[in-house]
Parts: sequence; structure tokens; C-alpha cells
Amino acid sequence: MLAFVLGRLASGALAILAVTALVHALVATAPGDPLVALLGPAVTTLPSAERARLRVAHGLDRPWPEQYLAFVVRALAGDLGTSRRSGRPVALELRDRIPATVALTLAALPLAVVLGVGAGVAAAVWSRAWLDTLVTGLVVVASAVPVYLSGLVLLLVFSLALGWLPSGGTGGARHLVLPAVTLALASAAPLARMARGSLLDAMAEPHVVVATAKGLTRRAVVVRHGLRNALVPLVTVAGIDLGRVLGGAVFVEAVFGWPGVGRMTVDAIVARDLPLVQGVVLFGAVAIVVLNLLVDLTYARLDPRVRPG
Amino acid sequence: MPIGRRLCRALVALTVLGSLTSVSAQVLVTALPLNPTSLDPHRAIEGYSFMVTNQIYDTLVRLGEGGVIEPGLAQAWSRPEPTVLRLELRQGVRFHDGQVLDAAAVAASLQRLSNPLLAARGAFLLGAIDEYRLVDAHTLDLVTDPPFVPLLANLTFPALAIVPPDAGLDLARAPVGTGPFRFVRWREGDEVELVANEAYWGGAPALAGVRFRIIPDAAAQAIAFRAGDLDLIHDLTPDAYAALADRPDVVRSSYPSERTSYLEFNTAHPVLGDLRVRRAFAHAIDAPLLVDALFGDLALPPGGPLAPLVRYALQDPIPYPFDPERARALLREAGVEDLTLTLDLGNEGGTEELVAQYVQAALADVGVRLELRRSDFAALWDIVTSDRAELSFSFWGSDTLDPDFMLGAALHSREVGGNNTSRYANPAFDALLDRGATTTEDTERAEIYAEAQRMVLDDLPMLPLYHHVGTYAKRATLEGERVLGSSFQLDLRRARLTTVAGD
Repeated sequence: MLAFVLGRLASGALAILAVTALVHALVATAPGDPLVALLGPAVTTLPSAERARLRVAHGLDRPWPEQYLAFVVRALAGDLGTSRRSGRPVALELRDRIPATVALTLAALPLAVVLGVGAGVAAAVWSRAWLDTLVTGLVVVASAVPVYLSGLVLLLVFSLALGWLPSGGTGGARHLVLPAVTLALASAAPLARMARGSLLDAMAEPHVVVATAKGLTRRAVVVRHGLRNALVPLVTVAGIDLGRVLGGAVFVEAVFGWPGVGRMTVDAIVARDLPLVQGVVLFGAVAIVVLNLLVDLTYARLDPRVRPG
Repeated sequence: MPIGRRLCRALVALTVLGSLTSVSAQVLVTALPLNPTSLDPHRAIEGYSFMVTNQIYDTLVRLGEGGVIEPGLAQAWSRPEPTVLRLELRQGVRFHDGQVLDAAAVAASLQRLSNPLLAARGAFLLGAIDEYRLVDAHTLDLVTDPPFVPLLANLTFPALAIVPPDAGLDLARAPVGTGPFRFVRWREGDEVELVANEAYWGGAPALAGVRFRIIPDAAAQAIAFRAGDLDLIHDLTPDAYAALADRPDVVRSSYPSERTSYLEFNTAHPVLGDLRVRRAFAHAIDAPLLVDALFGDLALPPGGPLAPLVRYALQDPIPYPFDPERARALLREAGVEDLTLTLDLGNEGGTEELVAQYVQAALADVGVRLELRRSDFAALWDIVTSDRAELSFSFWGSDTLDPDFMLGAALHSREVGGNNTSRYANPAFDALLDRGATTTEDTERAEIYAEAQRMVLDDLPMLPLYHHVGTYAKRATLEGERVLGSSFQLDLRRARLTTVAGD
């Protein structure tokens, strides 16, 4: 088991290295002068000697692979560098923003699982009944509507029309409700589809048919025999979903003025603020690697056949 | 319940109601579309940071109605000789941390902009200063040789606001100024909070404070405003502006902006270098129609290269009436057939995209094919400064309302290779600008810049398409606010909210 965890951690570290290298290459080789991206039109007013000095100060005078190596060496020593845009340490920028994104994700993900799995299971149990049609229809709608739009609709209804919830910003659990629900709705849709499909598949397995023939209650058949087998693919989707949730957070944060890493990342990319972009990517990559490890360990609990060593 | 107790309760209720309807100082809540880059005015790189720093800091002089320059930290100014701008500072002004504002502090603040560590956006506006001369504790001479008349207007620029003499790099997150509001806290990505500076030299503001909520999405800002969570929102799109009509609790305002959007020609281009081609384009585009269809009242049809609000700006309509026949004839005369060009523009979409599409259709009508290429600013800049540049869509703001700000930076030949991306190089035009910058006599300056603008319209290195109109919407209970030329120039010194407490 320990060897398995260590192995997964090692491959996770490689994945993080690959992701940060790719991001670095993409941002560093994008067309246009990073100094212009950073300072905007103001850069044109600077004397060329001043421009050269700024280039050195931001490490832009060196080729990008060298910049990347320097980033890795510094990051290993725990130094994420300084944001080119704000001049503040990246660690400080992340410290200010990560808690909000984590709170949003932690609120949205369980909600997505409960909503998605609940709806999917209900649709499977009453398959081909009106409830199934309703759930399938809602799933199609929820998958098709971008979070940006669903967020605005929720704001219009619950904040503007009904006045039940605040229109954005922070200040307590009430402020978290709409952003979390918006994010959860988008993530619940694929979960519902997956839950319905895999439960229907599991229910058609011979051993479930036998369990039904033995005279077990429908509830026992679904929960003990069907759902348990359906959970393995579901956990995988839920794990992958974290990536989707983090991606959706960018839009949700913009709509609700939620002070997480999402909007900061967009601004950092536009300004080619590589140290900050890398800081966020590192955070996202580590989160996904750790969560996937947890998913793998959960598999082992759910299905003895994939239990390592 | 005994009658006495009932009466007592009623009296208490009435007292409470009475206190609720009395007016008390209120906190104004408005929105920013982004987290400010810096609250150090010398280091801020985008306008919305200035919307906040303008409340915390003062400039030496400020822009007033009609572009008139009003006293700020300098209560008076004079030119004892053409090369000297003498500033008489207000006495008794203190920074929020208690430090005294005097001539030495002001000189230190202005000189701070040349600190390379700051990469200060406004440094170029002071480039003409050769010497800072302290006359006495509250009088400062700025010496420029030759004379540089736009200097006074330049001092209105928010990026030249006065900071304490010991200001370091930490000013960005812990701002200290002399302005009407003091900094309280900045929750990154969430909110910037300011409180009234009761000791403000111009009198304590009527507002108790200002909160800038960071809401990146314009539609979400509009919802928060309608829900009553914001008192003021800025820079509304024409649709959002129209959607707030007929609401008794909302007042919408529009004001002429200092910005002009234009089509820029690379005059070094083999085809676009021909003046007849550029004039053909001018006749092919129906700018008044474009303004009417896309903006309604929220833009002005083009006159000259400067927005009408800018000092000495030409106020007549552009001398190229819509005339496709004339355009085709000019193109034929120039021997242009089967022309395909690329129009470069930003990638932010919105109205700019629609304008570009209109230009594309209008030119197609006279036989010129335009391909639209969208890029982010850095990539766009790369293109417009390279030989690949053909046509680009751009705008320029005359932030100081002095004509030198835009004409000098965008069209003087010394800027070719820099800001002058049209590569316009006309010695007669340069000479006019040089004279304008050194002429102190107002009527003479007006004539010089009028001639310079007419020269631009004759030579057409750029074709003005429309002048911007700024917008904001506020609660009907907000009074006394002032916005001049751009939303960044939000003046809340006299603003008050008459909302009753508990409302």
C-alpha cells in the first residue's frame, strides 16, 4: 500500500512538472512582448535603457527554458517568486485568494455529488418513467448552459427578484450559497448522467438479478448490489470533476465577485504575469494530484479487485 | 395592556422612527471591474486603480468643468518667466499619517516618479522638467528649458498625485495621501474600503466613507445595482444604460469623454501610404450612421482627432462626408484594384468588434476586402509596430485635456518607432506642436492646435470614427458627485447620500 501511494506521488510530481513546463512554454512563447502585456501602453513611454532594465528585473532577458529551470529551483526551495503585476510575493497573493476558492469548491463539490448522484439514482430506479425523463432533460439543460449564464439567472431570481440572497461579494455563509449552487449545478450534470448509466448497467448484472430473485427488497438490491458496483466509475468522474469545478470557478468568481484565484488567474494570464500564473497552476495541479490519489484509495475501499498489494 | 404602557411604547416607537428618518453620513458603495494593480498612484498601470487613488491622494492642480484647471494642493500658480512654472502650495495640509505637506515634500514626490524601480506610468509627463527649485517652504518652481506649457495640465494627471516624502514600495498596499478619504483596508479581489478624512483641507467630505466592491462581470454589477447593493456603477454599455431608463429610484448620467476611437493607417504601407486611398476610406465610412446605429446618444460623431472636450478641439464635423462614389473614384485614381487588407483590433469584443464589422462592410461596398485580426494587447502592439501593420482600430484618451497629450504622443515624428504607430512624419506638423508646447499665450495656442488638427484631417494618418461618451447610473439619493472626462476622474468630495438611516 505504501509503495502504491509513493508510486502515485512520484507520478503526480512528474505530472506537476510537466504541467508547469507546458504552461511556462505557452505563456512565454505567446506572441507579443511580455513587458507590453504587463505595463500596457505605458511601456511605450519608457526609454529603451529603462525597458532593458525592467526586462532584466523580470528575468525576461533569458531564454524561457532557463527561466523555467530557475522557477523550478526556486519553487523547490519554497520560493514562488514575485508577481510581476503587483510586485507582491506570489505566496502572499495565493494566501489571500486560495481560501476563497477552496471554500467555494468545498461547498460546491459535495453539493454536486449529492445532487448529481441523487438525481441519477432516482432516474435509474424509475427508469423510463416521468422522473427519468425530467432528470435527463434537466441534465441536458444543465450541461448546455454555461455557468456564467446560470449564475446570472440565479442572481436575477434569488437576489434581485426575491431578495433572499446577497448579490455577490463575501461576508458569511449566505454569500456562498449562490456561487456554490451555480458551480454545483454545472458539475452535477455529468455526475447524474454517469450515475444513471452505471446504475442501470449494474442492475442488469446477473448477480443483481439473482439478488432480486432471492426476494430481497428493491431498496436492498439497489443500495447493496447495484449502487456499490456503480460507485467505481462514479468516483472516477467525481475526481475528474474537480478539474471542471476549478475551471468553472473562474467564471463563477467573476459573476459573483468572489475573491478567489479564478479572476486573478485570468488577469495574470492577460498580463503574462508568469510567476503568478505558475503559482496558481501549481496550486491547481497539486490539488488535482492529491484528489486523484484519494480517488484511487477510495477505489480500493470500494472494489477489492483493484486493491493494491 | 394598561394604557400608560401602551402610550409609553408608542412614544418609544415614535422616537425610534424619528431617529431613523434623520439624515446621517452614509458610506457610498460602488464597483470596480478588477482588483486594482496598485494603490500607489505612481505605480498604478490601469485606470480603475486611479478611481480609488483619486479619493486618497490629491494632485497639485485638478481638472474642472470645461477643462478649466482648478487649484488642488497648489492654490495658485504663475509663470514669472516663460521657463518657470511657480506653484504656491496650500499651507497647513497634512498627509493622513500626520506628515506636513511642503515644497520639499512635493518636489520629492514628483522626483520619485523618475525612480526606475517604480516604472512610473506618468514619468514622461514630467520629462521636460530640468530643475526643481524650492523658493520657500510653500513655493516651488518647476524649471523647463525651453518653456513647456502643457506641464500645468500634466500635473492634473492622477499618476502624478502627491505622495509622502518617505513613501516606499509598500505604499501600493498601504496608501497614504492628503485626499478626502483615508485608506482603511483592501481585501484582495473583494473590496477596498476608505473612510472620510475629517481633517481634509477642502473640508470634511459629507460621505462617511467609500467602499469599492470588486465585481468583474458587468451584468453582475448591474444586478447588484438594481438589488440596491451598489449606489453607483460606471461605464455602462448602451444596452445596460437603456435598461435602467424609467426607474424613479435611479438617475442615469452621460458626459462627454476625453477619448476618441479611430482607424489608424500605417502610412509607410505601399498602398495606404497613398493619401487618395486614405481619403477614399474616409468617404466610404458613414460615421454618423455608425454612431447612431451602435451608440445612439452614447457617442458623438467625429470631428477632429481630439474629443470635443479637449482644449482647443475642433468642433466641426469631419470634412469627409459619406460618399461611396467619391471613394470609388479616389481608389480608381490611385490605381487600386482588388485590394485586401488586414484590420487589427483587440480581442475584447463588445462594441469595438461591431464597429470593426461595420468598417469591414462599408469598405467592402467600395471594393476593399478587410480581414479582421483580433489579438491581445501585447500581440496587437507587436503587429502595429511591425511591418505587418496595415489598418488598426485604436483609441486615445487625452487625460489631461491638453491637446499636446495626444497629438504629441501619437503623431509627432519623434515618436515614430514608439507611440506613433501610423508613422506620420510631417515637419510642418511637428513644428506646430513644438510651438504649441512653448507658447504661453492662450489665443495663439488655440490657433496653433486648430491648424495642427486640420493638418491631421488633411493628411489622415488616422481617421476619427467617434468620440466616446461616458456613462454612470446612481441612486437618486446620491448628490454632488462629479465625473469629468472619464470614470477614473470620479470626484466624491462634495458627494452625499440623502438615504434615511435604516432605509
